Amino acid sequence: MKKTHYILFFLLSAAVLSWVLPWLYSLCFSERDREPFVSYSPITDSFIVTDFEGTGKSKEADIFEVDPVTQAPGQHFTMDQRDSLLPEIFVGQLSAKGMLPDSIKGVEITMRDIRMNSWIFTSWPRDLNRSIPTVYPLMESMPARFKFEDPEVVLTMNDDVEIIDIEQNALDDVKTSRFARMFADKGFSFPSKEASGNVTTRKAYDNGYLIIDNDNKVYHLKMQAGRPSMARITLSDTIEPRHVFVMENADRLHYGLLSDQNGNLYTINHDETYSVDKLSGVNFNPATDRLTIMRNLFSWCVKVKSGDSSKWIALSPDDFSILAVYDFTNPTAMSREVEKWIFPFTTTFTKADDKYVYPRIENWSWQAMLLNVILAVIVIFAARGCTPRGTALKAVATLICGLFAFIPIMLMKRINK
Amino acid sequence: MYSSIIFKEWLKTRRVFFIALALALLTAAYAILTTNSFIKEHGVISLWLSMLDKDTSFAGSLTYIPLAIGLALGVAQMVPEVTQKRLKLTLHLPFPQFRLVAMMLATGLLELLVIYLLQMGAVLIYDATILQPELVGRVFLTMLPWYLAGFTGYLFVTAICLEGTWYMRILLGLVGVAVLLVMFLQPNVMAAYNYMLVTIIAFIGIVTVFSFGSIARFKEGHQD
Repeated sequence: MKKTHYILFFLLSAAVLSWVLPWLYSLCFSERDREPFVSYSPITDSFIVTDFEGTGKSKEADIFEVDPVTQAPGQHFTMDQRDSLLPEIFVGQLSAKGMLPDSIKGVEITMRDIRMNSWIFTSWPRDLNRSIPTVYPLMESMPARFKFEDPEVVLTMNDDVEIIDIEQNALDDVKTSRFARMFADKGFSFPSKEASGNVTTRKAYDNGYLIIDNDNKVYHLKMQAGRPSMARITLSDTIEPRHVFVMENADRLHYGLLSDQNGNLYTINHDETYSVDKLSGVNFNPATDRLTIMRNLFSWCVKVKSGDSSKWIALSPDDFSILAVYDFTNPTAMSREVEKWIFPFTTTFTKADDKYVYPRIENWSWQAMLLNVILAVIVIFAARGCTPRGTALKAVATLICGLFAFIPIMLMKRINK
Repeated sequence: MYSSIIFKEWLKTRRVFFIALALALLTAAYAILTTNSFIKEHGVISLWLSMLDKDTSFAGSLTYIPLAIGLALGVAQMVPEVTQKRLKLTLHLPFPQFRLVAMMLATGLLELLVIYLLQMGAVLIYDATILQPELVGRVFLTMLPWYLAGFTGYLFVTAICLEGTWYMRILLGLVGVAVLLVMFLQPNVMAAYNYMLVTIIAFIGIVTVFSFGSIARFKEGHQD
């Protein structure tokens, strides 16, 4: 029993240290990520980069233009010049200073035009990588008093469609039979794989839900006057939908976005045929990448951040052809480089990209082997009185786990006495 | 003999058991009343939307109660063994020692189980009257790690108390704090520990062995 006790205590201590030590290290030596602000200028037809260079202070930022072809830095600007080059973003500042241009690219613009045609869409892996309930609040899209109210029913699409009255916490038989008929007519295959909606009363209109069924067919569902309004979105055979994102922008041009198995991203257009357009050059995995789309009158600026790398793609709002591309990779921080020489691996329980807690062993590093060998030699010399087998096992454990094994071995030397 | 051991453990823990039971039921009642008052103020629809949109379990006030109860029961059961030097006498009883320790732990764990089931049951039964089964299940999965942390805390306290040396007690305590910290990294994110439940149960299994190890060391004379 004593031996089992020591072995389990050693294993648990090593496991705990592989979490605690890297966490303490990052706490002591954390460095700010360098994240430039990049936007496409309709004046210069190029990306304007505002690089804070890790300071996070706007006044010290390096602002420069990027050549659309070579991505090489070009002319440098002051902050005021930058504001003038990005009138759709800094509309407030320019308007306050009376510097908002009357027209851009020959198109007459007003502050209202800019605001009505600008929106931002973001998608974070954390929003998808979590335990998502399969109970979807269903809003009335055509409220009798033209003002949205909190949904009174929820929709479930597991074995069959069910509409549940929230107040009664019971099935709404009338609505359920209406929806069941509609789902059957449209050939919906249960259970649903994903549904995306935006349940809030603070919006101008309701686009309901975009739903992927079990056969990867995509549907658009709304509840209007208590009745279902459902349409199947026809996709080309090459598109296998993975995720859908409903949008309710002021310009009312799109129902939402759709990502496929190859990382392509499509808009689902607000027309009768639910046509889809591919966003050229965008490769996006919603489960791992962060997506930001800044739409304005003259371009779509799409940013895909994957790990330490970010890619900005400026697209034409007419046909989504590529206007410019800019890549940026965050340089590896010195503390991370040093960390590789200390820890052979790290254990984390939480990550910024999901909302789950479970052990993940990562950041395996062969550079730490040097320290591991030194520690293993110390363990061998310190193992006086130990059996050769025991010494060998301790040395092997230290070779593999480095500090995480070394510390408990040295601490447990005393308790064995 | 079995009943005598159980009775001995009951005598040590009954006061704390009833206080803990009262605390558990009062906090459960508080959680239920808070939920009820939210419904009266904002309506049951807002409650559902908060649960679905904002990941609110409406049982957050109970988060650390099971752990506190587990620690208190462990202290009440094991500290008298140490401070009044009863452990030596206990180990000299004409009964297999490991079975004896197992009986002591089983009594404590059973008392905890009763308290936890009553507290969790009260909350979940209330929830079942206002929520859909899937949502009740999510509340259950959110609360479950809190109770598993309670069992873990209890077992760490018993292992520490039964250990004869301060050095090992400190090591056990440090590892115990770290293990318990893991169980409260995201205590109020709904169903965040779904992939971790098996690991937590493995932790509980490992920590159970520590109590037996402490006794084995005590018997060998590892005492300050």
